[in-house]
Amino acid sequence: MRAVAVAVAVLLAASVASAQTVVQLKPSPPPEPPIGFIFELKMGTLIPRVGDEEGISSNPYETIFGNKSMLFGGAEADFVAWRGYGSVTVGFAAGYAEKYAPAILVTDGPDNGQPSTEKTALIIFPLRIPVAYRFDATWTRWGIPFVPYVKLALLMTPWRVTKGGTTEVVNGLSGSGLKWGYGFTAGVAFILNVLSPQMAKDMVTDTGIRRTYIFAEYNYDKIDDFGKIGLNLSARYFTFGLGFEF
Amino acid sequence: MPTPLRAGLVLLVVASPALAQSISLNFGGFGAGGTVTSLPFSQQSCLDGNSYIIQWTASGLGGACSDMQIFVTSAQGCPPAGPNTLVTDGGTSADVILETVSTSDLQAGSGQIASKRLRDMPSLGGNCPDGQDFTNAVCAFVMYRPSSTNCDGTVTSSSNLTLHYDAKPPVPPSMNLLAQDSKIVVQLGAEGETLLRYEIQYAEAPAGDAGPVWRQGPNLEAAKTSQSITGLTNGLTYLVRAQSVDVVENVSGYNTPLSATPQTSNGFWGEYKDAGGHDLGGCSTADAAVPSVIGALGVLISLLWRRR
Repeated sequence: MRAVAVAVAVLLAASVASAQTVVQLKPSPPPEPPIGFIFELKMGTLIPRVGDEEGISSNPYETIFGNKSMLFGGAEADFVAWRGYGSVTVGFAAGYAEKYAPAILVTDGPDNGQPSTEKTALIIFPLRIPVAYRFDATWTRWGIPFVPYVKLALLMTPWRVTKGGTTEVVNGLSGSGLKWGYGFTAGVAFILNVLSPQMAKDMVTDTGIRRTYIFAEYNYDKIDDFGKIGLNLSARYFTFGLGFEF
Repeated sequence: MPTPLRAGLVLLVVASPALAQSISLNFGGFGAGGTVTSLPFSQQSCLDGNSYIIQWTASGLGGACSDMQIFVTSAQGCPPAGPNTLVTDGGTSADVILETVSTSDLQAGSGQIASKRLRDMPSLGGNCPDGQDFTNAVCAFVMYRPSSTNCDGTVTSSSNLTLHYDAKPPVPPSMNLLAQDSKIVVQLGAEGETLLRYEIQYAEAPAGDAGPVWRQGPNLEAAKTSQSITGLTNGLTYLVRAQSVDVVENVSGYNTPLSATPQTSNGFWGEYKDAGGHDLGGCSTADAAVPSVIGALGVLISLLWRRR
């Protein structure tokens, strides 16, 4: 009888043990800080709409460079000024784009229009002050790793034309200047944190980078001194890049 | 024996060759620390009787048992057996002994010999022949006593100093011309020896039998490969020639002239202006629009900042 009682007690103890559920309390993610910074690297290709200038007889960009695009690369730093249902950022972006091609001979002979041994280049340094709204509630509230955003920017674009390595001068007019304009950008970012949450947590701890993302955006830049007739460096183009939010 | 002591002994044994006898030479007055190892000189310098000095440094030669001889040899590098003062049947010149340093002076560890004429090198025999190019080595040699009895150890200078008599003109450069807008780009290449620079001349191609009137163009450092002659008239044919100048100012003489005709060309800016482009270049403030936009942006940022 005593042996039976012991066996029952052991069984009871075992059953109680097996009924226990191990609950691990997962710490909630830290709240979004009220302010932050974003850094982006981007690149793309663009063709300035030089031929859109009123009264111009041909498109000199096409004449010199054909239909080949300028290679563009740039970086943008943004300050997260407001965070609520989404976030608003203000920043500064700088880029560089260039295109080289042979100059064209201008002669009375059969060489007229033929490529010269001299190279000419159009070089632009797009600068912009963008204000952006990012609808990042998709990620912060619903966990959807896609964040759409729009930007409005003031654009300043120093430009320079070279021939034979120096600024080209025609009839005393130097081929360099500064054009102003504005631009709209619409894009979507894919939050890479979703691919490896643990690595994302480690990055927050180790580097302070809260989010890493890749993005694609469409840019509508109107760079014509706000409608003034002159060299038109407006462009519509896509850029792609990598971003980090701190 | 304790391990550290044993290790120290091993170190001493290993390090002993590094503390062995050595002699180094350098050309005095031509860069500190023996940075100049070759002393090229021209026929003119030879004829002028120009001279040089040698500084020597000896270490570990407390047991030297012969005078140290500093000499110039036509051999390839410094011989391990001291200077050869005999003229061989094969025509090899006898080495020229520049100076003998006594064993007592050797104890000082360093010194300098009296200045010597550049022309006193074996290959020249004291002359300055035309069109010749010789390189001779400057060496030092001393014997020492590796044991208490024998005087059979030898030390040869470790420095690789050379005297280079160069009376051989360089070869004219290879040349290619690129005609551009109001300029000609001259592309030059060295043929053979190391050069100092190229000298370029150009002239308008003469219409008749008259010879071209050559004008001095810009010189080109030998380290570079192209040079532009600017300010030329488009449509006019020019002749261009160049010569090489080596490190002792020997000149090659000018190469065969080539011709090129600069032609007007349009870059992007020229094409834009030809197409009727209105832009005048330079900065534009776009009237008051830009300051207004910047101001509005500033207000927006300050509002956002205050809201925080």
